[in-house]
Amino acid sequence: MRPFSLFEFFERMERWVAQLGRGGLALLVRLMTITIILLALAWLGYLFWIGQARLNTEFLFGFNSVVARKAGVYPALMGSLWLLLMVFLLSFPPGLAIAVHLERGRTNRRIKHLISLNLSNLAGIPSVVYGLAGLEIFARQLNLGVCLMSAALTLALMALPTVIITCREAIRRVPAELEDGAVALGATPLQALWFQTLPTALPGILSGVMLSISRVVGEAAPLLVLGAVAFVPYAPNSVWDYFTLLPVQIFYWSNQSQPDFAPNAAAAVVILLGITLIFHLFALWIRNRWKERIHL
Amino acid sequence: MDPQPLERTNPPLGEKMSVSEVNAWYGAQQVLFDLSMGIRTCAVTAIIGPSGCGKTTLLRLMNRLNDRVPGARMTGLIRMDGRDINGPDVHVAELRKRVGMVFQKPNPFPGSIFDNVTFGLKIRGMVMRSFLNERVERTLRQVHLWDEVKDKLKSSALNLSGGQQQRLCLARALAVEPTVLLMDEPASSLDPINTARIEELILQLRAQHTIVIVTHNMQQAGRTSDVTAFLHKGRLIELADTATFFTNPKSPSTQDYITGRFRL
Repeated sequence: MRPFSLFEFFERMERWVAQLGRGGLALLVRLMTITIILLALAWLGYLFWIGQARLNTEFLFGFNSVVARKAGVYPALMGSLWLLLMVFLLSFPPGLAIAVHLERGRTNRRIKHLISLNLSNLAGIPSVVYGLAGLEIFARQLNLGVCLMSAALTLALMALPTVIITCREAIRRVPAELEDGAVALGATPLQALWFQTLPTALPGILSGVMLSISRVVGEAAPLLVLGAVAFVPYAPNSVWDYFTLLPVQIFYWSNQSQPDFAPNAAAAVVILLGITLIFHLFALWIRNRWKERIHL
Repeated sequence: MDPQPLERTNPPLGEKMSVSEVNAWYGAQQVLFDLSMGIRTCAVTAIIGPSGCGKTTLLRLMNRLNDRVPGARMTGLIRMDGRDINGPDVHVAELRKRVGMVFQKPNPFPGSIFDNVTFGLKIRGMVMRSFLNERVERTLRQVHLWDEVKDKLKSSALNLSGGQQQRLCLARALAVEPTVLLMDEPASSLDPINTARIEELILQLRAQHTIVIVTHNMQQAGRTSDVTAFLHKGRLIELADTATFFTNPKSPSTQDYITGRFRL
């Protein structure tokens, strides 16, 4: 008998997988994909069916009420849109600045390494923990109370690590020769960055930022901890107002003992998914619109 | 094709730049050793030598592009018109405007052709439309690209072919009116026809520009240059008029290199 060869073993495995791929495996993968899509569609259809009675403009623009049939999603919808905008404003500029510094700044390499290590760790921290931190830091220590501002700060903090990481990736994808070319024409390093690298990286930056922000604003857990779950009958007028938002509203309705509130929750889920879908499509559009600018 | 002024505006003697006793390092590794040479005004100086001999480093020291490389440092003196280019009174951006550079791989900006040519002007605040239009046409004619692109100045430079891109990069460098042009193997990624075009351009440009070209191709050095320098392992082995250099090299290792009997 021949001695065992690891190389031969892998070669045989590969051949085996390839054979599977030609026949059964490809079919299996296709079946699984189709099943998942069908399940998701079925779930969406089910939600539509349950919430159909409430999917109308009255629900969309109505205010909250203790009577399920009269309750509207408007305050939560506005709260979510406010938060989207605020989180974008609070996390994008500092995130981009930090990313640029980490990619181009003159900080010691070891410190940069330490920072990026911590960033990946921060991106993996459960959202509840962010909620607790936000409650303590923004709502209590900074005395902001439970308002849109403290919620936006908490979510921005949560989005920041991913925003920084995606911005760094997008900047790194721009070839260094581009900046060299600009500098060789007499541009200052900042001009080269501002006029060449950042515009080239912008589609990647924006689509990445949109995705991470829409994910963060879809979270209910950190804001539940922050104290956002309550009956909120009005839409926010300023960043210091008390608020609610779609995920929290869904949680609130699905927690009610009366079954009448179930259609409300289902309809709100459909609206939340719609907003997320619009955001993702927008990010996709940005990426494709400027695709030709990325390659070199 | 436009008639080019063939008389040189400056006498071909005299030195535009001079490199004296230059040592250069990347981190702990020394790549240039005590290198001294003059760059003759309005002439083409070719730098040849095997890969990794420090040709590109020398070039990047001459417009201080190596300032941007972390861990790169140098000692010695590089002068332009008698002034130390690393001196405290030298404005780096101004130096790089006067010492243009064309890179090995065409690196057009991902904007329009027009934006590529005008970038170096716009960042200096020159934004008058008529002036920019005139400059774009002049430089694109200079590199014989005008007829090919005059109808699509607003379209992306990335849609041009490699040879066109490289000529666009040359036009972009010429637009800010440099007196010295550094070329880092400008034709190495081009086909023979585009290589011939670039070489022809070099011969036309030397009437008004001091040109330093790094090349792997000895025929190219022979065809285009007035002076040739041979670098090996970071040291200048030989520097002579091109005709003398190729017909009557003094150093045995130069002789070996140009006849292809060279061993590292």
